[in-house]
Amino acid sequence: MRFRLNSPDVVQEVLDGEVIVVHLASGTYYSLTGSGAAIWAQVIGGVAEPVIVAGVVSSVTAAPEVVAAELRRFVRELQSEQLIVADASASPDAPAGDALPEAGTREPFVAPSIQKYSDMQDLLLVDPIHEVDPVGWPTRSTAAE
Amino acid sequence: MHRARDAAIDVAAAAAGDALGFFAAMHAVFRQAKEVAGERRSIGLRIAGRSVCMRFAGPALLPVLAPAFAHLLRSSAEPPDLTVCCWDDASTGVTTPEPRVSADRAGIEFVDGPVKLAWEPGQRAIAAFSATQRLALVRFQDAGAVPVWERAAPLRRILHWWASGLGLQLVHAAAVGTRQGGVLLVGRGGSGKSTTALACVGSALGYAGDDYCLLSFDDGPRVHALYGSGKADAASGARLPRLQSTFAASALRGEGKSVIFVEDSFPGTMIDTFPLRAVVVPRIAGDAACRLDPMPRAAALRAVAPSTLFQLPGDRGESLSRLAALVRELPCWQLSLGPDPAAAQPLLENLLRNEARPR
Repeated sequence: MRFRLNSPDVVQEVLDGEVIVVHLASGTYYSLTGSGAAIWAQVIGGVAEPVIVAGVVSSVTAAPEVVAAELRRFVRELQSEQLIVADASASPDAPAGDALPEAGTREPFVAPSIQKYSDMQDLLLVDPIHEVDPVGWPTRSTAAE
Repeated sequence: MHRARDAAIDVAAAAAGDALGFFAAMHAVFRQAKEVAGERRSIGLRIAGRSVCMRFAGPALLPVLAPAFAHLLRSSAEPPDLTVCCWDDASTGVTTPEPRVSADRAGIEFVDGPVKLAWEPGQRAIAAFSATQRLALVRFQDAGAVPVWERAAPLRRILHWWASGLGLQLVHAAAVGTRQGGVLLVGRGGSGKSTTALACVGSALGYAGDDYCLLSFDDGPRVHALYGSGKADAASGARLPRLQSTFAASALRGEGKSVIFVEDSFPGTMIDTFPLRAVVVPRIAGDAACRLDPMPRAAALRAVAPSTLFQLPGDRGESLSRLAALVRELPCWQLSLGPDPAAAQPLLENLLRNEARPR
């Protein structure tokens, strides 16, 4: 399966090996660390899971089944938090990106980690923002009340 | 009055199409409001080197929206980069069409497209912006019911939309500094950024706002003051001895906070712009002494980005990129605030001296 960023509800930025992901509709935001930053770039780039696993396995000292299990857990969590969505339109030939370390420079595997922050949700609960379609924005005259 | 009501029926029909039609209809209502109210007033502002003209139909909104911008007043003779038309229905007698929204749906309705529109049912306020026309429309139902927080920081969404199109960023932050450089104080509400900024009033550090500022990025990150207001609740006011009596005397109160306009009480305190030397993230540290510690950039981005993005609809991907660029460019510090916020001011001055080297 391939995925893409759940835009426009989700925006993201990479900083010093950490991915900051903001879910604008839910009021939550996330920090992806460990191998999460590199894997995240591959996932939202539409790279298929087996290709990502192969890329990670070639660059770390961990067993393939360990990497595959961690990757599946990570992707499930990203999906469950609605940070990514399945992308049926992605090309089956989408190549692995360059976010993973070069094969041959094997390093210890650091499992991808997701830290969720909900401390801003109260702000959104008070004043949620509903993005609505510009066509046919219904109107009423206050004179008609 | 009858003339305005008759015209409003046509306006409502014209607005029934789409966002562009709604914008045109709103503009027509503003013109009606000017005719009906018999008042034509405008003020010129200088914001981040650009000319902004606020035009008011009727006298009611000017004293509500203008005080926060008093430090930015300039001659309105030059052609504006942005014109903001402001009116309220109650004092002008016009009837502005309103979006129809389910009564059980709280929050802000936002339309993004050729024009940007935001509808706040709680205030019955509409903000609309057309970048191509360099025109914004701001309508309140009743100038007398504009909440205190809006009076402290008016037109936030309009200024965000306009500024974003120019590559500028409205940010949920306070800022203090001198012409040579200053710091951006970031964090969610209650983190201590307002208290820290207000604690610097009367010191060598000028005040550029306690809640929202504008950032530009040409030739390095630079802050531009937007609002001359300062807010404090009773507990924070008590920790600001220089300002305590000013806050106590303020008639502008709401949701447990008092609002003052800093330049009114402390002339010469406001500073319009300065280059940024650091991002500082305050946190309330109880009884511990004030101290500054280096902070990871990603943690600083987590402090500044969500609270800005969740408040300001529109261009939020671009906003996050600009804020990430900001923390990449500047050193980031955590400010642990002790019981006396005034102790933060010498720490910040010292930080600025150390960061004053050419970057």
